[in-house]
This record gives sequence, C-alpha cells and structure tokens, in this order.
Amino acid sequence: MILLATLRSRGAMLLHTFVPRPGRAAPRGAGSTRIAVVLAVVLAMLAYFVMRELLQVLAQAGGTLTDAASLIAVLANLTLAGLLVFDLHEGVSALLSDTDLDLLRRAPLKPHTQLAIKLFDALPRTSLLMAVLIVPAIFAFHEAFHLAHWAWVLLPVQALSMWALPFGLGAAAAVLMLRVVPARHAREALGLVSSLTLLVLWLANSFLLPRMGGNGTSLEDFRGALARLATGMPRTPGGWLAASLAASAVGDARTALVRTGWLTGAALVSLALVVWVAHTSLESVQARMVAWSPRRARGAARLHAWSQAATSLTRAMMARDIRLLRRNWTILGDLVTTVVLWTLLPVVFEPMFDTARPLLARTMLLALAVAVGSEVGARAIPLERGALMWARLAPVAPSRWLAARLLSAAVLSGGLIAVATTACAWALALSARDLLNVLAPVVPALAVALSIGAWAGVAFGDPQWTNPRAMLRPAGRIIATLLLIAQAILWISLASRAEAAPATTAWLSLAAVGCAVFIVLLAFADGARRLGTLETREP
Amino acid sequence: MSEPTTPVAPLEIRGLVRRYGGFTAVDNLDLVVSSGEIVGFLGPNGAGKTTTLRCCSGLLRGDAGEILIAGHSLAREPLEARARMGFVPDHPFLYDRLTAWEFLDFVGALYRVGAATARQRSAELIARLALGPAADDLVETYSLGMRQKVSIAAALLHEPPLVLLDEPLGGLDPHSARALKDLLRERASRGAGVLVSTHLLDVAERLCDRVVVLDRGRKRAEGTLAELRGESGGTTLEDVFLALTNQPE
Repeated sequence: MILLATLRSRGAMLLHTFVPRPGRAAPRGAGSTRIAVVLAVVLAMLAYFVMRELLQVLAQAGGTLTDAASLIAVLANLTLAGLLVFDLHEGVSALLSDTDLDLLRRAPLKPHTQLAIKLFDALPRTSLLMAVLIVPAIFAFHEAFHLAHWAWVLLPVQALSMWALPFGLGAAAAVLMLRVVPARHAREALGLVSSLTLLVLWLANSFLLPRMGGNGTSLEDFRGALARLATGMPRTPGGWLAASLAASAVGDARTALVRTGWLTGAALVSLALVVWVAHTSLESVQARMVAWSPRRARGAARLHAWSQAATSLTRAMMARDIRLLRRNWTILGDLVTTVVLWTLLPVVFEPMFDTARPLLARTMLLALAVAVGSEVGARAIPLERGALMWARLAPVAPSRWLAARLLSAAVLSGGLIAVATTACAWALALSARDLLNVLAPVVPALAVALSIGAWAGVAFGDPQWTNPRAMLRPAGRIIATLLLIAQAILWISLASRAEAAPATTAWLSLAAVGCAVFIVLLAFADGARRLGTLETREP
Repeated sequence: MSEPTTPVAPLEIRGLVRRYGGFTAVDNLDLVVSSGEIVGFLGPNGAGKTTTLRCCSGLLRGDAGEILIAGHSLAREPLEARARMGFVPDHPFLYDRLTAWEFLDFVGALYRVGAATARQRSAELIARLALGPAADDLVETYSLGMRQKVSIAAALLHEPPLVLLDEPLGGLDPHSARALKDLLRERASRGAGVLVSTHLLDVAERLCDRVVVLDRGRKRAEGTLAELRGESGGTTLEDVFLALTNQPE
C-alpha cells in the first residue's frame, strides 16, 4: 500500500519532469534531467557500436566465445567498480540526506519499508553506468553470438542484480561507517571514501592492465591479456554474467540459469545485509545526521587579519575561498587524488610505448593541466552553494565575479601543477630547456581547462551537492567528462604532432594559442552571461 | 527659478509583470515606497509577494515593466541599483562554512564598505540581534532563526536606502523580532524605505505606515490602515485582509 503510494508519487514527479503541464513552469532541474537522459542514450549507443566493433574484430582475429565472454566479464566488473566510486554516494545520500527523509521518518514506517522506498529512489540516480555500459554490451554480444530467446527473460534479473550487489554492500558499509564517524564529518567521510576507492581501484587497474597486455599492441596481445584476465573472472559478478551470456549463446539453459542464480543470490545477500544494517542502525544514523554539535571555526583569527585589511573584492574572495576549501577538505583531498591519478596516467602506460623523458613529462603535465583545470574550474562555482545568489544581489558585475573565481581557481591549480612539475623535473632529470618546452603547451591547456570547467560549473553546478566528486548535475558530469577527455586527447595529440614534425611547431603553436585564447574568451563570456541571468525559481 | 526638488523614492515599480511558463505570478504591478516609509506587503500564499521582492532584488527578471531603486533602473544600471538595496530573502543565502563574522566581512567587501567600518557595523548588528558568541561558530551549526539574523545583518551592513524583507520574522524569538522592528524603524527614521512581506497581520498593523495587499499577482488595495478600513468596512487589518482577498476574480 505504502510502496504503491510511493510509486505513484515518484511516477507523478517523473511525468512532470518529462511532460510539463500546459501553462506551468517545468520543475527545477527538469532541463538538466532531460539532457542527462539524451546524453545517456547517446553514450549507450556509442558503447554499443564500440563493443560491437570490438567483438567483430576479435572474431575476425580468431577470437572465441570464451574471449568475448572474458571481455564482457572485465567490462562488467569495471562497471561495478565504477558504480561504487561514482554513484554509491548518490544512494547513500538518498538514504541519509534526502529532503523527504523528515517526512518518512515521522511516518509510521518500518525501517525496511523506508529502506525500500529510498532504494527505489536511488535506482535511477545510480544506474547510469549499468544503462550506458552493461546493457549495450549485452546487445552487442547478442549481435555477435545470437542469444537464445529465453535469455532475454533473464536480462532484467541480471541487470538488477548487477546493480543491487555493489549498491547493497556499499550502502551497508557506509551506514556502518557513519555509526562511528562524528556526524559533522559524515559528508567529508563519504567523499573521502569515494576518493580513496577511486584512487585504489584506478592504481590497481592502471598498473595491472597495461602490463598484462605485454609490450605489443596487436590483437594477439589483446587476446592474451583477456585470457590472463579471464583466469580470475569466473567467481566474480561480471564472470557470472558473462558465463550466463555465453551459455545462452550456445543454448545451454541450465548453465545460464545457474550462473544467473549465483549472481542473483549474491545480490540478495548484499540486499539482506543492507536490510539488516538498516534495521539495526538506519534510524540512529539518520538521527545523528540531523543532530549537530556546534563547532567554532579554527584558524579564523589568522586569516581575519589578512582579509580585514582589504576591501578589494578579489582579496575578499581569495580569503573566503581559502576558508571554504580548508573547511571542505574532502574537495582538496579529491583534487589531490585527481592530481596523482592524471600525473601517473602516462607513467602507467609507459611500458607499452617506449617514450622519451621530455615527451613523457609533457604528456604527464598536459594530462594533469587539463584534469586539474577542469576539476578545479568546475568546482569553483558550485562550491558557493546557494550563497552564489550574492553574485546577483551584490553590486558586482558577473564578469568580475567569475574572473575572481577563476583567479582563485588558477592559483590553486597553478600551485598543484607547480608541485607536479618540480617532481617531474627532478624525477626525470629534465634540463631547463626541456622544462620550458614541456611547459609551453601546459599553460594554455590549463587556461582552457579552467575556463571550460568554470563554464560547466555555472551551467550545471548543483548547489545541493553532497559529494565533492559530484558537484555538477548528472548531465553536467557527463558533458564535463567528455570535454575533459576531448581536451586531453587534443592537447596530447597536438604536442606529439609538433614533436614529430619540428618544422610545423611554430605555426602549430601559434594556431593552438590562438584557438586557446578564443575558447577561453568564449567560455568566459558565456559563463558570465549565465551567471548574470541566474535565477531562483520558487514562485 | 529652480523647481523644488523632491527626494527620489527608494523603490518605484512600474507595470511589473512576471510569468512562470503560462502562469502570471505578478500582473502589472505599480508600487512606490517613499523615503522614511515602512510598507507592509500582504497577501495570501501564492499571491506573488516573494516573486515581486525577488524581482526588486534582481534575483528574478521581470517579463515587463520597470523597477527603479533610488532612481536607478535595475535593468539598465544594475550595479548602481543593487548597491542601494539590502535584501533579506525567505531562505537565507549564506556560506555554511564561514562564521557570521567572516560572512559579514565578505559582504562588506562586496558592497565596498571600508574594513573598519564594516567591522564596527557588524559588531553593532550582532549585538543588536543577540547573535553573541555564536558569531564565531560556523553558519552550518545555526538554527533557522540565527541564520535569519545573519541574513538581516548582511542586508543592513551597507546602510542601503532601500531594505526589502521577505517574511523576516520567521524563526526569530520575541526579543530578536523586537530588535528587528526597532532596527527597521531606526532605518526608516534616517530616510530609508522599507518593504516588508509578512503573514503576521498584527506585525503589519503595528510596524507599517502603509499596507499593500496583493492577490493573484494583482494589487487589491493600498493605503494606511485607516484608509483600508474605510474602503472595506472592516474593523481590524484581519477583517480588511479577508474581505479584500476573498473577492472573486
């Protein structure tokens, strides 16, 4: 009865998001949700075509059904890891900090009913990776190996189990963690766990995968790597899914059912765990999240003297940003994680491509400049949360506000890049001349990334963010990630091209700087325009 | 021979229209708040009070009409207009991880109030609004009433000629509510104009010099309490309000 009423209310909300009532404004964030859905469909199609191509190439190279299943298993397990890193916080936020929790806690609901409602709420927020990676991969697998008709009946069960397995475990662990973490640090703790999980998984994958493929890049090497990876896969959720699909492709219903059973059983155990944890701890954790103990601001006096001396807007903003960043230390932690990951990216692939040291350093720093610029820039505006409305209230031009935000962001990201550059120069024994060559494209890359990041922050910033990894709305996160990847590829390709053909370096550099200036100005102008027309929406 | 100069009204609204999709929240509203005047903005829920105040503060754009703040058009000279206005929204816009002192320092810099002056005024407002030692705590630890006090202090810090307040008494204890009314009276006596939206009719009755009643986006009545009583035949502001807002469209 209650679940039915919840379903009806959620259905109504969904309907209002996608079908605005005539004569009424669309709900807040509806546009962003629609963009996210369109982008998810586009990404799913892209994943489908890439996977289909990959499976065809594999088949042409003599790849077997087992090879293809191994590929699916690897992808599925990586998706589960991605769900833990990128989406789990959304689910935990649904359980612990959604705006309707007050209402649900006051209602005569048993903990497991409340949990069921919030799990239902969390499903669309946390299933993006399933929708854009696993489902298209299964369709591509079907295209190559033709699944039996009955296999499609198993598909929803498999997809739901793949979602429930990491989500149940993660949510249970998060609730248990929040029983011991001081309530005022709950938000930071969740963010920190997310960043650390990303760091560990990324390092493990990055160092493991390239080395498993050996030094070559041929299909044989790829098949060899898949075979080596497959040895550890059978007892993983991805392995069960892949084995079930492979069995479906040869009409072995019994094996398909058994493997799906393993997957579903594991998901049920995971859900049982979170139900038990909810039964014993959810109410007390929710109560702790609501009840805060006041705290004094540490180090306020030290900064005060510096900020009090000046009435300059830029200086006031810098002082405010230092305070906000220091007190939102998980954001800094997340940025440092990003710095480590992107700087190391070229290093972990280095064994596959024998690279000259200056080129390696340049690639590392370019990757870092693009990533840090994008990440810091994109956080600059959402960091202000609802107080961003002062940009509309105060007598400060939007362009000046944005410029001051960009200046703070540039100081922070410039500092991080300076540290990484020093480390690179020392570790790779670069000469002063090498270092200048290395830094030449890094500066415009940072400027472009910062301005595009800040633009994304203005356009898609979520003032209600709960996790430093998700300060943009879902559509914004997808767009910002795509822009980040596109920039990294463009800058690294450009630098490699200039290296390969020194005669073209001068005009290539000039063109690159010209384009960079144009993009910076364009992003800044549109960002300032959006900031100047930002509106609160409650009628 | 020069003409006698009349003081510029802190707020002048001409033909303001604001729509949300096909719904008209404010419909051709004209309103003037003169110097030294406290105007009460009354109306049932959804009447368009918050939308009007947000349009006047620059947080929302009107679809038609003009808003002048101390003679400066909000559309054509937004920075000059905003510098002359303080706004207390219904939900305060605060930085959760700043203290009240730090937040007021920042707001002072936004409005180019000298650092020493800003500190002096902040201290006075913090004392008047009884924020006390809590002003050294992070805003995220504050109750709704304390957040409201910080928001009020921020709106008054630069001593603007126009003060807009949207349901400012929500969450305030009786002492703080009294302190706020005294503050508004003092600002009005020094020539500022005050437009305050409230559901508390007794507050409007005692605090305001004039009352504007808004219903379904349109101005239903305007005047002193005595004038409104005469128009509607009611004896209290509550009678007047109910009579005016029960009229069919």
